[in-house]
Amino acid sequence: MTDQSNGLLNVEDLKLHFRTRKGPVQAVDGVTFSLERGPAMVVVGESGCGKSTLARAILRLLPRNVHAYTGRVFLNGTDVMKLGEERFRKQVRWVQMSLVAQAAMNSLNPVVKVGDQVAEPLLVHRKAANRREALGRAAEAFRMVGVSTDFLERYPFELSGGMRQRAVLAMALIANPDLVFLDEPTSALDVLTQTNIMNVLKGIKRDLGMTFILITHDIATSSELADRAAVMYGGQLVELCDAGTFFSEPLHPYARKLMASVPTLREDKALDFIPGQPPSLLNPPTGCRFAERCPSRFEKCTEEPPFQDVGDGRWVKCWLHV
Amino acid sequence: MTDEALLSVSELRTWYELRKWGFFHAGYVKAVDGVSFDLARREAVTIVGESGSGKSTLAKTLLGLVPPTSGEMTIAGTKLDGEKKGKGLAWVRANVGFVQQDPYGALPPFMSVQRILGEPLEIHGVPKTDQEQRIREVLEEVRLIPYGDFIHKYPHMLSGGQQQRLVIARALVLEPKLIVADEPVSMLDASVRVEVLQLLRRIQEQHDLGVIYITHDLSTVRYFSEFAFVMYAAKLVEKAEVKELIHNPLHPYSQALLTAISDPDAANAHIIKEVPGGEPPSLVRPPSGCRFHPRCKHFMEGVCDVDEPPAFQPVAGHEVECWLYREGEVPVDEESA
Repeated sequence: MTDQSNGLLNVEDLKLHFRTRKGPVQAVDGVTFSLERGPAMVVVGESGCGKSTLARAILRLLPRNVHAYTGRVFLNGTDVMKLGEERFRKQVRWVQMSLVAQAAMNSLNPVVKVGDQVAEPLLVHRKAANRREALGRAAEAFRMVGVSTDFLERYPFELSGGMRQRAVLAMALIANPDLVFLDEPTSALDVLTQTNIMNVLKGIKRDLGMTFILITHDIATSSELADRAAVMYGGQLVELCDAGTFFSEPLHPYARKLMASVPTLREDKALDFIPGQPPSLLNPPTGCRFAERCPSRFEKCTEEPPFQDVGDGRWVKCWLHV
Repeated sequence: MTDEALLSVSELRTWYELRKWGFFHAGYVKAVDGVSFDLARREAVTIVGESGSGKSTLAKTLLGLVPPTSGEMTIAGTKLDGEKKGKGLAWVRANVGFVQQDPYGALPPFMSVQRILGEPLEIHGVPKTDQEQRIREVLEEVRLIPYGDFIHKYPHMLSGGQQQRLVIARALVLEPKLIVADEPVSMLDASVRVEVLQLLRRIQEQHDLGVIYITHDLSTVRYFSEFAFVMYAAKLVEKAEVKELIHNPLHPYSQALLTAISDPDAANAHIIKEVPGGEPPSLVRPPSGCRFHPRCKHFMEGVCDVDEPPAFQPVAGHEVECWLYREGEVPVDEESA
């Protein structure tokens, strides 16, 4: 984890706690991972496990009630946590990392033409000399995501959900960032549209070598893009490994249970579910956070397990795999 | 299907009128356009379709929330005719339960569990003395136990899965014959989804209920129902047993839908799936002939865009509305040919 030279993104012990009336909420609590340029990573977990907050913490899109925000985030070898807010905005956000937010198709401004909205980052970051050039680049981005350039001159309400989703994706891609966070990019869309968008993402990954971090609760769809898979539970990463090994044999008991609960279309398998509730992030249990719901819990689980490498680039946070 | 039909729907149409000025109007949104099917007791059927295919309107029509424009619905021998008030409506409400999509939105925030479940009993004149007993039974049935822990709680105190179970309890409290569940698990986490579906399945079997499960997620279908209908642009384009549909989809739209659904497998990341582009058509002016023809890869000019295909039955018990399967015509499988 100390070698920051070849990795695109290195996150070390990232914490983001929110202040609430009932006390601090540990939404992201000590997340460590690194990601190389190229392979796409998916982050899966139940709602409320902190996966969206993780993206926001890395992009430094913070609400006002931040209680603690610590850790180190290296992007292309520089510690971006050390940058001031204005420098971060100018040099990092949208230029090196961008985000397709959840329910992105509703995040367009209803009274501004789609083309202008997509082109805006270029003007803000002075990557285009004038509006005409920016619109030209927006047209290119539209072609890339498979939307007719006729739509540049339209308002968001004139586009269907799938088109708006693609427009937002075009906006995230337009400044040519190294890393794009996709927060549930297809969850509000129909199955066929979803597959079409996944095809677009696969094409971009292959042709432009862009790195994606896909955040989702839909495990079946996540496999469409994943090269690396990370499982998040109770604000922490519990498993991180190659997609190939993850989808066939996850190690962490939570990841196993989660995979067993995914309905499959073609194979006959008995489905499982996870009894109980995810832990409250207000007062998370000491020790392993999954212990309460874990079928293979033993005495040691009252202590917090380390998140460590078990070989083959596979990281697990569980006493069973130490 | 058995002779004892619980629900029988024939040529059902539900059209919404667009912008009305006196006698004039701009047309109709034909949200349900000629739907027929039968459902026997103890049967669960899934209706699969994309958003805007009219599946929720179909649910609302069956529930009597929207009056049908034409067509017939018969539930347990009683013909329904879009009752708006009185005894007829009360009968529908007591016999058809509704499980909504968003449990938090469907539950009144200022009512306790006891009042939520007590209200339908009160309205339908169940004596006070029996009410508590029934509430207890139904809570135990949906596994909100011990029931004493839940009865005084408010919806926000329950987790998503518990809220959805409460919605199911409310649908069951009057002992209906038919349950219409509109995307009952789409708002829940994957880990709870299965639990709720299994619960619904168990209740259906125990009480010999008929269940109509409406969803866009084909992958949960096989865990839930015997039959599946595929809905596209206001019509049921394919009807078959679930296993048959999954292994032998006939309609090009169903085939595309099945291709689009992924099973968790890392190999998916390396293939680009071939799915039809475009969007579902407008229901105000649907395409002529088969409504899927503008997106269909088997489009036959002069056939598909002229007449609407009737239901063909190339395999016993498997109906499909597609010209590829017309009488005397053997569909050519391009891949194997």
